[in-house]
Amino acid sequence: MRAPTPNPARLLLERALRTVAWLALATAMYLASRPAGQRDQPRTVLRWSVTDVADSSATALVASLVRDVIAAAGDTQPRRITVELPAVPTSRARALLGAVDGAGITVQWIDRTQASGLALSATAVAGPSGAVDVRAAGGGAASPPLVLRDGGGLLDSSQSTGRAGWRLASVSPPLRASVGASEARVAVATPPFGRRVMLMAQPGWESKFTAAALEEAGWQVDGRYLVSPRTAVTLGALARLDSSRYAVVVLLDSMSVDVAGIMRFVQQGGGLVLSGDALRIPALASISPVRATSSRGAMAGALLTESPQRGLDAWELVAGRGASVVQSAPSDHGHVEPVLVAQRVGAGRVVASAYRNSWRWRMEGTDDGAAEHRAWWGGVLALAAGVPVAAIDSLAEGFPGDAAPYADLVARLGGPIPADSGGALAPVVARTAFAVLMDRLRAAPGLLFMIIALALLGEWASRRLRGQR
Amino acid sequence: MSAAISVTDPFVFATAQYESGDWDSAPMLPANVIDSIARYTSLPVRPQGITVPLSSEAVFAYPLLFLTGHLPVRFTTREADVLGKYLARGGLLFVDDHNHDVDGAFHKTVREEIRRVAGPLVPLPNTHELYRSFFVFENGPPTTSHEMNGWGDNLVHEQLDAVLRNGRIAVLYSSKDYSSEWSFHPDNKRFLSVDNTKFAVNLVVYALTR
Repeated sequence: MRAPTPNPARLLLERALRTVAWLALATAMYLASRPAGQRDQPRTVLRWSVTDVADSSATALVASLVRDVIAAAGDTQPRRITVELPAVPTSRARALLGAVDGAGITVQWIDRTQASGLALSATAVAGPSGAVDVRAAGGGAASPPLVLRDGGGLLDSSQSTGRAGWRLASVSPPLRASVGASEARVAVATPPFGRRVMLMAQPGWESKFTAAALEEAGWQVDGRYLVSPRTAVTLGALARLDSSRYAVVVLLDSMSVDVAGIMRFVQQGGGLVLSGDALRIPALASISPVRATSSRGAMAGALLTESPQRGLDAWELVAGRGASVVQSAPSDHGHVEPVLVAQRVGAGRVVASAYRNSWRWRMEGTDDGAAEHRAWWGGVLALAAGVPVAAIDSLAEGFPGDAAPYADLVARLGGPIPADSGGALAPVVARTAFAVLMDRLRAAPGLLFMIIALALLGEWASRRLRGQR
Repeated sequence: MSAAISVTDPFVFATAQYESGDWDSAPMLPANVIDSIARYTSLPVRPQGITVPLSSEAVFAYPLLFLTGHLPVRFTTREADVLGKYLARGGLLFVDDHNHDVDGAFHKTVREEIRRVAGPLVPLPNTHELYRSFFVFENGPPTTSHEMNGWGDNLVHEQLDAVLRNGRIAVLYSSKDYSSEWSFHPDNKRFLSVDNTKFAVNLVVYALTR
């Protein structure tokens, strides 16, 4: 007896069911054997608007980010997001991105900022003038100009090598530098600074013009000159020597001084300037940064040259161990000798200046002599006084990274990825349907088992109904 | 503990020599002022004064400069240029009218020259620290015995005049004829009941300390 010919459609259905079972089995095996990294890296691309990036409200920013992450990831948590940035984010936005990155969600970014690296620093000048040294770096010859502004408006602009420096007599915070779309800012805070100097010297032209130069530079000079055995002339409002009252003591002559008081003052953090014959006070040798070996005469006519300091009488100095030679000058012997040397002593500083009669620089020098003499003494006192350290918060408006926001962004998230690696950059999601299907199947592992079981059961039932095993 | 005392460069009394007029009309004055400085103070002072041409940049080495005379004063261009720089750098010029005559030629011309070079002279208050820098002169500048000697304007001049820069005296002008009052041999001070050169000490101490 010949078996009946099976219906071709029925055969096709059975083969299809078997194929489905095999595919389901293969999928289950694929999902089971898939590396964990691949499984956990759905591709999520977020695009932030300028408003989001520039918004200073952390609340709005967090809400925006959470909404976008949820929308992009569906019901699964993304492990990597790519952010397209149209501008350098604010400090809070950078902090938020850094926190997300640090929490395990890799944050990549595509640079649409058209910004360039920009850094800005502002340092208070050591002295009573309140001046601020500003350094900015960013841009270059082909970039937009580097523009410096403060709270009062535009200060200056520069378009040269991408680096610029200014000494500003006063600043209205915050200080901002910008190159095109990049901006860096610092809130300059001039640390509290003592403005008083005690001048210890015998009356004479050196003491007179040193005091004049210091007062012109903004220092309050106190002193007491003994003009006769019983008569002293007081300059300013002389008070007891203490580091809370005075920033610096200036000694100009090898005169009678309270050595113990001066040494205590320096140990407590005060500055001491030993100039000219004061370098020969034996009792101060232990804290002097130099040894004054012999004197050398002034070079005739040198005060009117470009090296006016050679026209001053000076001591030849030998710097001590641990001392720092700040300035040197050619000597009569043809070699360079130190003329300004500094050294730390305790919490304070001691500065040695070789020149014995600097007043001649001012009076007998060129027309610029008075300004140079003033600048010299201002520099000497800045070395001795130092600048009290200010908390970094007060220098950078509460967030240090604002001094160089682009660099801060790179430091937090790494460098930007190429724009083409972001794919089509669909507004919200740019994942393939296959990836979505795999995610769904992984989320419901019983589904594959049911598919396999139903397919095999269906095929088996069909075969049995037509008499086959 | 104290260190040994040494001395600074000595003070040198300098008289300005100018081309017009009689700049050397008080030849004994420098010696008398130097004597007073040595007598009353411990300031190192050179025993001889010096005369410096006002047209020479050598004046820059002497931050206190004395100028006197009877005759009209007209600074040359060079003198005016040097004096302008001298004052700008911190020098102090003391000018005394040897005529003690506010209608005299010296008074009128030298004040015009000072105005041209340094700016206008203004009265110096009698409470200025100049009058307390060493000796105390409660009533301002001491009166001289020559002010009412029948010559000149025969007035007692109550104040000195000055040009101030940065709070310091740059030019000090006197109509009190200290040139006559102080121009005598120092040995003759022993015949005076009160030394009339004490104000010169104030002037030098002020110049050295302010």
